[in-house]
Amino acid sequence: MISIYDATRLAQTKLQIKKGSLFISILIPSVLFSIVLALIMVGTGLSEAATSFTSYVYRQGYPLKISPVISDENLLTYKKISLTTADVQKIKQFEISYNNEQKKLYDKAGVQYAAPLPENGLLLPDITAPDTVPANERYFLNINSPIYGKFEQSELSNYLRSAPNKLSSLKSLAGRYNGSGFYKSYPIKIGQIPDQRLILDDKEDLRDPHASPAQDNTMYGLFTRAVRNSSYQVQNDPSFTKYITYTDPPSELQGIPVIISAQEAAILFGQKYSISSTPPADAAAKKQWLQSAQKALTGRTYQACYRNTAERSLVSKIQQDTLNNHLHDNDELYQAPTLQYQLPSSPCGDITIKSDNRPTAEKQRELIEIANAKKLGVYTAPYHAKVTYQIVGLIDAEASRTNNFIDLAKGLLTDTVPISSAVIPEHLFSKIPETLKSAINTTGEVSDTNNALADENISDTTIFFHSIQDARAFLKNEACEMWVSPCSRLYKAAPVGSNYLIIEDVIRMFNTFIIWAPIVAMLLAAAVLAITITRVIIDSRRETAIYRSMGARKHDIVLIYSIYAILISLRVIVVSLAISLIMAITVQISYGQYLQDILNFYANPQAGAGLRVNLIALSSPNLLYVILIIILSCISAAIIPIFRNVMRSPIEDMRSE
Amino acid sequence: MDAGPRSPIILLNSVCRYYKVGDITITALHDVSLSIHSGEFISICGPSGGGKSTLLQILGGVDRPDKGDLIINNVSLNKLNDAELSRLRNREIGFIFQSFYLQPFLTVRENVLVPAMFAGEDKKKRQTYADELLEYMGLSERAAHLPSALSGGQIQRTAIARALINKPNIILADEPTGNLDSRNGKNVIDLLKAIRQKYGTTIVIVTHDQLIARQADRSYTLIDGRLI
Repeated sequence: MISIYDATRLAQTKLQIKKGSLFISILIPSVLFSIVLALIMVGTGLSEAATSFTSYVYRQGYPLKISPVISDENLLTYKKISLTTADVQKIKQFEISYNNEQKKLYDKAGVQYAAPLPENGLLLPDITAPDTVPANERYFLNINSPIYGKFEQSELSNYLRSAPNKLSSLKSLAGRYNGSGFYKSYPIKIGQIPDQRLILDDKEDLRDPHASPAQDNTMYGLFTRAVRNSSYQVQNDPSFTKYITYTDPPSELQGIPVIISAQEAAILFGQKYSISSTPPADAAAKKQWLQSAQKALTGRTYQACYRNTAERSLVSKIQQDTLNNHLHDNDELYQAPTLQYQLPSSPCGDITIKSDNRPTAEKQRELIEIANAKKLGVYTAPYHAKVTYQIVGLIDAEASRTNNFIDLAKGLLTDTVPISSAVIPEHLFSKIPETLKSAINTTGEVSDTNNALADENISDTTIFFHSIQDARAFLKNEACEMWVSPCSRLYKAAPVGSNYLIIEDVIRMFNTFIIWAPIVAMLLAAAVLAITITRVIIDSRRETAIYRSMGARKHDIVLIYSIYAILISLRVIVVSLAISLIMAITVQISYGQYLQDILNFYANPQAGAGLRVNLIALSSPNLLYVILIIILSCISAAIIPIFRNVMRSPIEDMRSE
Repeated sequence: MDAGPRSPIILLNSVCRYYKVGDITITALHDVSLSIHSGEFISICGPSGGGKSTLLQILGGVDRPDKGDLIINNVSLNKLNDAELSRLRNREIGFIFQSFYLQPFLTVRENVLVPAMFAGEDKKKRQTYADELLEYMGLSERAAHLPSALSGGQIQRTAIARALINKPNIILADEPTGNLDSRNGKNVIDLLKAIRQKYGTTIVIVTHDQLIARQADRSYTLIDGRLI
């Protein structure tokens, strides 16, 4: 039998025939395969970059933000129509108990108690109810009742007491999925700190921040106006820790620690330090800008004036009265309010009475109301105080902005936690001197709902899972996506920061895509190869006959032409790889550095993360898969013509020649 | 193995060969019987279409007769399978074609070695013998050249060397001088005679040239498939 060396030598002679058309026949499929190979190389490089990004960013675990679901079905207040007999009785009983308690309170305080009017009751007759509804169910819940809020709160508290999704239950459940590090976020009893007015250049901005025209209500817009809108939130989510550049001990803080957007910091305070109010578009330049802002503004303090609800009401009244007075300036019939206040003359100063033309009886009535409220313990005096904040970190708000597809793609990678408020890190806040905290008297500022949720330890919680698979399993088995409504499960959940689940899905989809999608290109390429090889082998009938006449056996012929097919495939492989490497190198030169800068910026805005992006990735097994396809295409193209050649009697080919 | 003194190396017994062309059956060979002894120089001539090439192809085991038998060295080719037939062609028979059929992209030496490749011979041994043959043919200096660099006579001598590489007992030449001028043609015949003399090879040559045919030990004529 012929040796492989000799068979290869004879096969090589076939490559010398019709070199021009053979070159074209190799080039066309090579180009098609090279596109597939380049796609694999670049795609693998991108996948590896994304994986290293998520591994770096989530080296401490993969966080899910988990929100307990409070189902509407458990709360009577959501069933405003179609009350059952039991519902009606329950509401009536609540109203009677509440009124009795109020009477006792008033009696104890020595204040005359006035029974609520029937039209202010919790239940009102539903005169539109059809006749089929029993008489004792023809009521609807009066949401305008003064005690509706109390009833709503009572319902919630009753439900929460035995809610199945408290923090302790969540810990146990998440533990089964290797979840740990439970960090509560909103609501914490401190809650939000509303409607403070920024004091800038020794002036208190008393304008209604929500009345500003054309406010951008996207996350980006809200976050970059958080200080001016007095939008603060205490957070103990560790995701924010990496933004803190303040390094002195918390005991040396001179204000409430706050992390704000770099953009707002630059607008409010940057001019003095020659920091541009608009960050540059280029990633490297932006990093520089952010670092400059952090260096200049970390540790800087600013003040806001905190006014409680009572004072804010006075400010609103002043603004309304001023507006009305202005509108009715020439209106002789207009009657100005008898009691008017004036805005403070100094930042965070007292609100004083401008004019009081009320009748004596009215003044006395007010005094009595205040005295009664004090006796009942529900009086809150107007209060204001300067609150000092100290910037401990900056966040680039741009990362959460999505104007187009590129931003969406960047958004997948960004590690920025989506937020619309300035963040007060709870671990620093808890350590600041009491004198700094006490300026904020949030009694009555935190909603009863928040208090109830906090009391029962039902809160949004950030949990870190050991692996993406654990996080995914929890999400799949135990929670709904945040946007699902209604949710029949106990929790809603979503990844925190960059959506590593989507990144993993994209990587998986890409790997599937790269196996199946190029099949069309490969089929086309294989067809071209098949035509070429088939043609050559058919044209080799005479040669086959000559070899047979010299004593070549059938398997000698099979070996020679099989090697020929393999030699063709090797040429295709070499040319394909060469073209694909050129393509991948071009992409690497054009985009590699840019992508690397972006990833490092988003992974660690301060110092970068040392991540490297290589779009000429040769590690994917899919490359071998394509090479195997090339070889199999050539061999399978050769099988039938070789078989036909050897099965033919050599004399037929000699005669045909 | 010889059956007796001067037993024929080639024995054709009443061989018939038919071809179908559409519905018509053509008789290429009709009841041909032939006996050739070892070392003989036999010529077969006749007009075109007479069945000469068919007879040569049957003698070489490339074609099988529809009737009758071919025995080479006491082995009936009818009883051999394809692999055995291939082995017999490789070891016992050397073919020389009218159109030479050299591989254009193999050197002279490599072309000579092709039958030895199929024999699975030891590489060194066959190289050595190939060089000997080339020297005998006067082609040593052309050993590394491609056929495109050779003259007609040199090409045919290369083909003859190729036919001899496996030391066959039989050489079958189909119009070996057909594409050569008279001088080269004479040289080829003289060479074949010399080979017969040196190696004792049996030579069967098919030709339409009567002058060449007369140089053989015995000459047959094949007309319309019948051997005369």
